[in-house]
Amino acid sequence: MTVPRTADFRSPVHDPRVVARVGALLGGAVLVLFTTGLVSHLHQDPVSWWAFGPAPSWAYRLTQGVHVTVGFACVPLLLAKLYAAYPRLFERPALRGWRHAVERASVAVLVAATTFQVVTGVLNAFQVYPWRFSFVAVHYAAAWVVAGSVLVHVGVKLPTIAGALRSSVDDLRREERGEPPRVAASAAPWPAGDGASIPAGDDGASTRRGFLAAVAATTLGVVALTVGQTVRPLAPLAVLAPRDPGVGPQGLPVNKTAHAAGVEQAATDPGWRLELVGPGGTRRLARQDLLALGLATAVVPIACVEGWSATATWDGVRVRDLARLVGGTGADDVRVESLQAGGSYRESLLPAAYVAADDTLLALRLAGEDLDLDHGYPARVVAPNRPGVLQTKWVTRMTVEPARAA
Amino acid sequence: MSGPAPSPSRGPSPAVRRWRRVLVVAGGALLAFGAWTAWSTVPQGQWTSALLWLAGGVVVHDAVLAPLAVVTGALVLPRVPPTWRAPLRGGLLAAGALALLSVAVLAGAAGRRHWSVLPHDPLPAIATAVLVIGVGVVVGAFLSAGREPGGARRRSARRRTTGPPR
Repeated sequence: MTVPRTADFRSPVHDPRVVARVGALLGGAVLVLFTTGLVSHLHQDPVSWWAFGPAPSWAYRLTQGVHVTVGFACVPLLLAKLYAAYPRLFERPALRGWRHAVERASVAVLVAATTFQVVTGVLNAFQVYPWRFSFVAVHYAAAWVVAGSVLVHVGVKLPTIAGALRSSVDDLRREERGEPPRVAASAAPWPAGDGASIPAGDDGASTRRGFLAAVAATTLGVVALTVGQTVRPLAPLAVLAPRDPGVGPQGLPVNKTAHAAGVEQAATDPGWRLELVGPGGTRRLARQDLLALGLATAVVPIACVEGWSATATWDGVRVRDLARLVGGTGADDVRVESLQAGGSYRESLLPAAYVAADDTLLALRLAGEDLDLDHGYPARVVAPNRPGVLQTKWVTRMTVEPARAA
Repeated sequence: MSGPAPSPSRGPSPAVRRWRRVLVVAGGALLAFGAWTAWSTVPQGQWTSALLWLAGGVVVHDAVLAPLAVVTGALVLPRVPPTWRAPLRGGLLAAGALALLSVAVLAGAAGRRHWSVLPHDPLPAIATAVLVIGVGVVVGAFLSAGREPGGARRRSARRRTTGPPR
C-alpha cells in the first residue's frame, strides 16, 4: 500500500463544503472557549478596565461551565475537522513556494496549538498532569496562539470557505432532490484537484449529510455525558464527567484537600485564631468569637475552574463586618491568606465590590454543619460570581487594604 | 446566502482580498501576543515540556490517528455495503472521541486526589457508551437504507472492492 495523494480521497466527506461546515462549528467553539477563558483569566488576574462584581452570582458558573463543556465537545469536532481535511495532509508537492510554505506552517501551528489546548485542557479537568509546566500560564498563552492561527487560517482560506458555505445550502438540496448541481456553484469553491475526483452518484449528498449528522450527534452526546457536572438535573447522565456535583463531603466535591495543602494539623489546632489586620489595628479572633458575632446565611455556588459547580448553603460572618472591626470603611479591598504555606492560590484579593456584598462570607458552616476539613475548616471565604480557586480555604489572616483603582 | 460563487479564474473579489488581509494581519498580531505572553510568563525551565506536548499532539495525530483513519477508509469502508458506510464512519468518529475521553477518565480515576473526583466506576459508563455507539450505527444504517431508492437491492449489493482511501 503506497502513501495516498490528495486526489485519492474520493469520499464526499472530504468535500470542501463539509470541511467548511465542520470548520465553522469548530471555529465557533474556539470563539466561545477564547471568550469564556478570557473571563476566567480576568477573574484571576484582574485589570482596571474590566472589573467583575458579585452579581449575578451565577455568571462565572455559567461561563466556566460552558468553557469546559465546549472544550469536551471539541474532542469530536477536532477529530472530524482533521479527518475531513485529510486530503490536504497528503498534498504533492509538499511545498509549492514560500506562500504555500507559510500557509502550511500556519496550519501546522493551528493544529499543534488546538490539539494541545484540547488535550491538556481535558486532562486538567480530570486532574491529570503528566507534564512539567504551569497549566494556567501555558493554557493562557496558547489560547492567543490558537485564536491568532484560526484568524490566519480563515484569512488564507477565505475564498474557499465563502464559496463552500455559500454554495452548499442550495446545491446540497438540489443534489438531495436528485438534480444535478449547478456548475458554477459546485465547481467554484475549491481549487483544482481538491474535489475533482469525487465520483458522480456516489451517494454524495447522503454521505455528507450522514457525516455532518454523526458529527452533530457525537458532539451533542459528549455534551450530554459531561454537562451534568455543572447542570445538576443532568448529573445522572454525566458519566464521563470528572465530577458529580452532589458527591463529596457535605454533598459538595473537593479540589484541594487539607492533606495536599499540608494544613491538617494547623487547621485543627484549638489555638487557631483569625488575624484581622486593618487601619484600626489588629485583632485575633477564635472560632467561638466568630460564631458569637452572629452568622449570616448565603446560598452561593462554588464554581470550579475545572468546570464543575454546585450551589451550597453557607453560614458565616460577612466579610464587610469583619473589615469594620479593624477600621474598614466599607469601600476597601480585603486580602485573604490561607494556612497553606505555598502554592499559587494560598492567598486571594477580594475587591471592594465583593467585600460590600451581603453574600460574601467568611464561612464557618456548610449545609448546617461545621465545615468539613477538606472544605476549609475552620473558616473559608465564599463569594458569589468568583472562581473556586479564589474562595480561599483554611483562612488564617485577612488584611483590609485601600481599594485598588478599578 | 445564495447564488453562484465567484469563479476561481477571476480570483477573489476586492472585498474578499481586503478581509483576507485584515484577518491575516489580526491573526498574526494575536499569534505574536501569544508567543510574547509565553516568552514572558512561562519559566524557561518549563519550555521543553510545553514544546514537547505541543509537538506531541501533532506527532501522535500524524503517526497514529491519521494512518489509522486512512487505512480504515481504504480497507474497511469499501468492503461494507454503501448504506453502512456513513453510519460506520460516524460510529468510528464517535468511538475515537470516546477513546480519547476514556484515556482521561481512566487516568483521572487511577490517580484521583480525592474520592469526589470521578466518584463512580467509569468502566460501566464507557461500556454503555460503546454499546450506544453500536446501536447508533445499526439505527443509522437502517435509516440510510430506508431513504435510498431501491434500498433493499443496494443493501444486498456488497461492493467488494479495494481502493484508495475514503
